[in-house]
Amino acid sequence: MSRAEVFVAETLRMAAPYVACGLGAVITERAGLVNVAFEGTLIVSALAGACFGLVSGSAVVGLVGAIAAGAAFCFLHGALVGRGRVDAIVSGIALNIIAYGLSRFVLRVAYDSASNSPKVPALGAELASPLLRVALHPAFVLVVLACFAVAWILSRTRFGLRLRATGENPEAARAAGIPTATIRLAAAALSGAVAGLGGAHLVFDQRHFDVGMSGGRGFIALAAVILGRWRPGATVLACLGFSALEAAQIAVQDVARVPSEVVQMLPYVVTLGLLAGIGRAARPPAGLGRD
Amino acid sequence: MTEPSRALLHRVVIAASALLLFFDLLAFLAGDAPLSAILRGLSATWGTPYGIGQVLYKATPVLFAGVAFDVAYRAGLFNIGAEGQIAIAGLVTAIVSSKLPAGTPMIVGVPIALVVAMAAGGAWASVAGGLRARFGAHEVIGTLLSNRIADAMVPLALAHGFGATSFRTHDVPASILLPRIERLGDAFRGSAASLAFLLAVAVAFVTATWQRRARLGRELGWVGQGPSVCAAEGIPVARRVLLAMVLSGAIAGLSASATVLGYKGHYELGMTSGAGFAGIAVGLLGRGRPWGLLLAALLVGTLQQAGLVLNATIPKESMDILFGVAILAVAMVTARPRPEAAR
Repeated sequence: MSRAEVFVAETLRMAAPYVACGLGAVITERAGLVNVAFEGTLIVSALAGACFGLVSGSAVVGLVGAIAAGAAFCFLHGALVGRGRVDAIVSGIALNIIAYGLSRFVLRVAYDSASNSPKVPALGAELASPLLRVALHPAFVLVVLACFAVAWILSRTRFGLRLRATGENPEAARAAGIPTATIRLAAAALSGAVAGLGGAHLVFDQRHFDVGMSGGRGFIALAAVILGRWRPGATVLACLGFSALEAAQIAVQDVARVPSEVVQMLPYVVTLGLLAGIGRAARPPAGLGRD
Repeated sequence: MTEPSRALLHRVVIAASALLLFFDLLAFLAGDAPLSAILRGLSATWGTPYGIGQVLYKATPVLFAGVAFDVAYRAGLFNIGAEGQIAIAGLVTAIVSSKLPAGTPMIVGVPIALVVAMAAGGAWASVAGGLRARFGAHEVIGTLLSNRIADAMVPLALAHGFGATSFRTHDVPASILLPRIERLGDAFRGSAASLAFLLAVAVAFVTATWQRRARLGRELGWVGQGPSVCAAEGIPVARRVLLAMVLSGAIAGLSASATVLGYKGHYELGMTSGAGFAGIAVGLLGRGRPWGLLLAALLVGTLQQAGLVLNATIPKESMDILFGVAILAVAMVTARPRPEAAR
């Protein structure tokens, strides 16, 4: 097993939650709904994956539970913003805080632990080759399928067209008879379901739920969406860039005599630099955050 | 009763009802008796001088962080980075103050420490602020990335020449430590509340007055309400955005007064963690009013202290759920208007 193979496998493995959240963010933001709650979505869906998996004894039920929990969580965000008229960023922040507290609460009450759940059932077969184990993991396969599905939905379907119209110019979309409020709610739920795949991947890859396991990926994915200029394909590439940097940390740590903290902060420094570099060329959907 | 104070009262009632409802729910789910839990929580916080002291101690950094959030929020910015700004400011303040000669008089040492704290917090926030002002990069992402970098930067500095050990700095001179509430009587013994609480209250009120009375302060609010109008009026919007972020970071940095100068006398890893995020809740609950921010900070302090006491039955992390619920409840009653055309 070569070093390169391990690097590729690690990159792909770490990319799954980024890609899932990045795709989710592309969906809501293209519908004009700001959503910074993907960190919370990862936590809630991973937790639901663990709980449903443990209660039922079936990883498939856990997977479905994770997707449903992610969809419900983002739907709640969509409803709070659309119906409840709450500022989208305020709602996102509050939901992230609730998700974090909820995960600690559930772990303590249900599993009497401060930090992690018991071991969850395995999803799919445990393969020997690291690359195949990553690439053929059912949650990973679903994330890959989601990449194509999201791109197809946004560009080729009636729903995608209406979604983009809502995100570019909600007033005009309403005038054309598009139910923008409903479209945004549907987009929110869909984004949560896709991001929930990321939570499912986290929990069924690690085989347990851990409080810190989302690790800020739901936030970094938002940066990836900007770097990907709100396009699914480019966003996925940006997400792969992040996960490659993260995977490189492990590789570099064996070789170079650099303090681990420097390596640890590298992806974030690079992202800040890229955001400055891309600057005002990154143009969000014109109706983002507008009613 | 004037309109704004009625709005404040409205928010307090809504937040309190939401908190009570969800607290009961959590207590019930955790298998505790809700009323008994509330009474135990209250008696451990507001029931004894020590409890009150602990509430004030916990409320101090979150009040600074809440004022910091509010300053940026008025200018239309979400400073989610108080967590990192507080950590960096605490670290730098402790490093610089520990170099002061022993016996430095308080009247000299404390102002130096506070200026350093503001400078460090402001400088750290200026990165995200500059990215926003100069390149239009969203400040939520800029501040979140800065938090992550601070997470790595602080242990890096401590491990490479700036720490007494790999997790703490050297002690600052004992002569510049802020007086503690313990001086008021034996009943407060062991409580870490200090003069820093009064400083935080003063900062909340001075900032609010400055934003109401001073030209520059008012401009920050206008920039938050209508940047394009401000630009047309000749207000340099980008510079005001940067100023709001730097000021926000500087105020967040002042929380070093509570932790470094008021409590430990040095900075150690994790000492300030959580204050920045709780400050977001304070800022969103107390939105725009110094009294509101103060009340919200006391509420957060009470819940955090009560959480520690009730931890045996109700996990203390549940208190985070309550912050989030309170934010949403208040946000829903102060919601933005519905657009005419939408259903």
